[in-house]
Amino acid sequence: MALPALAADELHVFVFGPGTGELVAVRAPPNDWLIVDGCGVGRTKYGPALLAHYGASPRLIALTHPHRDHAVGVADIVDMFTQGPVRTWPQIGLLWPTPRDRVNLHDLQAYFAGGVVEDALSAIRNRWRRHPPSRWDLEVGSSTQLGEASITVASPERNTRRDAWKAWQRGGSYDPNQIATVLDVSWHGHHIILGSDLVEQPGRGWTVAQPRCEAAVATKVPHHGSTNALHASWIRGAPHLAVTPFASSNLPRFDKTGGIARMLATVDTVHLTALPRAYTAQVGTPQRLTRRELERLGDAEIDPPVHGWPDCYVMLSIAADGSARLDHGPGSVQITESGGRVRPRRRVVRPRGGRS
Amino acid sequence: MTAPLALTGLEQAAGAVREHLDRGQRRVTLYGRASSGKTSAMRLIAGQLEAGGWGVHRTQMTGDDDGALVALAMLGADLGDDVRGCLFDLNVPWKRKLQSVVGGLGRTGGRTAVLVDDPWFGSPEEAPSLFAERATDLLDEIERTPSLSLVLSRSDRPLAGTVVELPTAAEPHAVLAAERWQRSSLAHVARQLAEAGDARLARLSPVELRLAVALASVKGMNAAGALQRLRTGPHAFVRTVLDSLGNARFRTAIVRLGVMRTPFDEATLDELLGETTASERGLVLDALLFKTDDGFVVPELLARVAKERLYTLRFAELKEAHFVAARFHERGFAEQARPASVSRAADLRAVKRHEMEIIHHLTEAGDAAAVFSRSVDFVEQYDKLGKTLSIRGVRTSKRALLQRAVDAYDRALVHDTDDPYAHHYRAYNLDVLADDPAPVEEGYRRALILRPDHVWHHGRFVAFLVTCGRPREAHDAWEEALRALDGLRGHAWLFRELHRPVARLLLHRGRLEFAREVLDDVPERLGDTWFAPARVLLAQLEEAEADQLVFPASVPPDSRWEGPHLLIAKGERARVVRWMPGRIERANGEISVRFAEHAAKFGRRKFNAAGFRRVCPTARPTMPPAGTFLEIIELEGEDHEVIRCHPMSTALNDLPALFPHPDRYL
Repeated sequence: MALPALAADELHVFVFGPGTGELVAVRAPPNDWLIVDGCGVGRTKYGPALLAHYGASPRLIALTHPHRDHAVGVADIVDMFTQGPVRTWPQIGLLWPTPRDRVNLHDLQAYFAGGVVEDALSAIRNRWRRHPPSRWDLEVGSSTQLGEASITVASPERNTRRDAWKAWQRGGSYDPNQIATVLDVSWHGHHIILGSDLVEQPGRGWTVAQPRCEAAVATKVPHHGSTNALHASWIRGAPHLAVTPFASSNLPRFDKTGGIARMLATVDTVHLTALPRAYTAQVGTPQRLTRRELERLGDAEIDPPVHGWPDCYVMLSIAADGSARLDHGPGSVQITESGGRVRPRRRVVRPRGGRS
Repeated sequence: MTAPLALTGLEQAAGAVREHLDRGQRRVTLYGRASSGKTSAMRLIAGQLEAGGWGVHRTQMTGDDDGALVALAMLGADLGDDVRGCLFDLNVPWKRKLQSVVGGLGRTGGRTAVLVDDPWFGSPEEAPSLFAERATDLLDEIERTPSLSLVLSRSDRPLAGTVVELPTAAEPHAVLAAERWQRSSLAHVARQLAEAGDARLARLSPVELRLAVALASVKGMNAAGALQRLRTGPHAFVRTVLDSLGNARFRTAIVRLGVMRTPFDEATLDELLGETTASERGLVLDALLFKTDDGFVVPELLARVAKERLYTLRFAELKEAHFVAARFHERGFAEQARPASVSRAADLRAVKRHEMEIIHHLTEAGDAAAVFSRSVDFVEQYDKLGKTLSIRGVRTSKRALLQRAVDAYDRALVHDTDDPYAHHYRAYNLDVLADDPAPVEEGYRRALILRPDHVWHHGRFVAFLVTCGRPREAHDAWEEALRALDGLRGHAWLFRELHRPVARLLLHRGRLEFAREVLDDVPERLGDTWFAPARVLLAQLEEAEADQLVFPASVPPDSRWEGPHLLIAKGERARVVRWMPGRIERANGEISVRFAEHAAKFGRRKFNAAGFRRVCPTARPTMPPAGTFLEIIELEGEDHEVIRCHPMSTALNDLPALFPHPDRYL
């Protein structure tokens, strides 16, 4: 299955998540790209593959927080698009300084993850040093243009960053998801919230971020739909909700108290890029399933399995009038609360407030 | 105690060398083990050659990084003003100095022999350093000059060429003769040893015989007991003797003598020995050192062992020993440098030798300011200072020392802008300091342009690019390294210096495809001890990348599914209904276990702490940490599965260390 064609006059948001990991890409008219985080399967890095498919170069790249499931392929994208003259380099966003997980060889899975993160951070910091204008500080409240759209940093607040950094320096405990960067993409008064992994608990991240986020046409659901990340601010307005799974934590959860049930209390459908299981056990064709079916499904196999890139994505296309259309890749699942056919629809969410 | 002229066969060996030269041999090696009298033999050879009408030039390498510089300076000091003007001009590069000196030697007319004591080539086990290359350059240049013949004295046996072997033993009765020990408190021990008539005595060199006297005296042994200790070979014997020398204070004093590379005076001896008793001092004078016309000499055999142990000294103590040595040479320099003296070539040699020794000792003392304040003759002396400071800075994690090393290389580059060593190591020290990658890259690149054939230049540049998150350029640089160094693939050090650090860094960064490419390029027989654990880590990380890491490295891949591996009792094995390998992937309140039912089916299980402890008795009282490998086993007759944990694997213990640390620029 090929990736969908892009419309010159629409804003497109891709959300990829192949079981573990997350990549969000925004193409704003006329043809400007933002790449947020990264994921991959084996040696296939989804970010570089996506841009290669559309023959695109990113204007903006951001790593929202230093976790492996968001850092895969970020160094490659940074490296790929900083080969030429510095005037062609993208702006690269990262909170700095940033705490990182401390790893050692006794836990090889964590060691591998730590190396991938270190690679991404090194690539970004190196480009900042070599060409300071490429630095995008992700200062909360700041905005930057992406073609006709603008990108506003909605989280984390400075004091939260400072506290996390101090805790890390002291060797104390902290949750890196408290300082995950949330971006608000605004185009023609329509907003898309890219929730990264920001959690409400601990730290009340969404309560703090709420005033900075407009009611959205769509939200990339934070932290794989965990209950810790749930907050009315990103559900309000009944937007399109796209979720990426995190297999090792079995997120999102499909039980009646889990994140998906809570979301389905507000929206008709939640769009999941893939099931919270290993990539090799993903589904070869887009599925429509109820939450209860998924709850019962467990590890049961569904044939045929995915056959490789491009897969495990949801693509949202928004027209200037706010109408939205969704495309679903192999591996993805549209989840409803009750049975019955999901009606494809175009819904207009009226913009509120004045930011554009 | 006078020099050991009790060696038999020296005259004969000297004659054999002379005959080879007379017959037209251009290179002859005099081989004899440490302290077998090579220097004495070289003196005899020089005398015989001069008597036969040969022009003779003698020099010596020091066995340290400045070996070739000292040797060249001593040769050049004999020559005319034009040669000396070039040789002692800091701004003249090594090659021109070398050509000038060797050209000067070649122009002296008639048959000319150059005698080099203890030529030093570095270790064949290691990539050639700048300093070893300088030594090779010197000997090559001499050999290339048709009018020159070369005589080398070595204590490591050359594998080819014309070799004259020195006799290995002394005349024991001459060494132990009463008249040699008549003023010594050890006379009775020497007599006992001589009277023992042990056949082994005839196999020993004079130095070994004297050390046997020393050992017998401090341990109160009889001759047989002392000789028994010689079974392990001369070097081990010297270590035994050193270890037997009374107390730590005295042993350390002997080690301090290892800083001296030339004969020295009594005042220096006293300063180096520090507080010693009369009997200890007597032992040193009578049994450990030689007294020659030029002063006290530490025999080669003892000097080597003492030098090995210099690094056991506290740095302040080592530094002070080198300052003592520097002060000795300062006095010698002041004495020799009087205008009336330096008119003679021999005195100029002495002046230059003192000057170079002062620089050497100030360098080893780490006193960069003192070196900078003096005039030096060779850019390589700044390179050596940089190396010394850098090694010490890395060992002690002192940034100030690394910065001073950079200063030393800056000095070198002022006088030779094309010094690849200085460019490379300036960059390397800046790389360790990690303040700014720009000059690091510039230095590495410049060194590669100047010397694309050097393994360290490639290895560190590739590693730098990987460290900075520049994998594409790193891969290009890697391919270029393989092309440039293709002719060195027979050496294990190529893989150790190039593949090992690059692979280790790539594994750390999770760049597994590139890491595999690097490791696949290593021939297994040349992989050394680092290779196997690096491959194990690659295999483990590849499974981690695929989220399929369930077996520890201690379970061989071929027998993975022949488990369970953690059952001990045979009876248990017979009751196994099912088993699954797994790993604790998270243990923060909830315990998450990744497991495999078979090679293609993986799953996860979650336990709370109590539930996990119920099935895993070893989790009481301490919960195993994330990363622990385990087996989930279902046994017949049991109402629940059991979990058993693997012990921590040692398969990765020999992994090479990561240095400089890859996150240094973050």
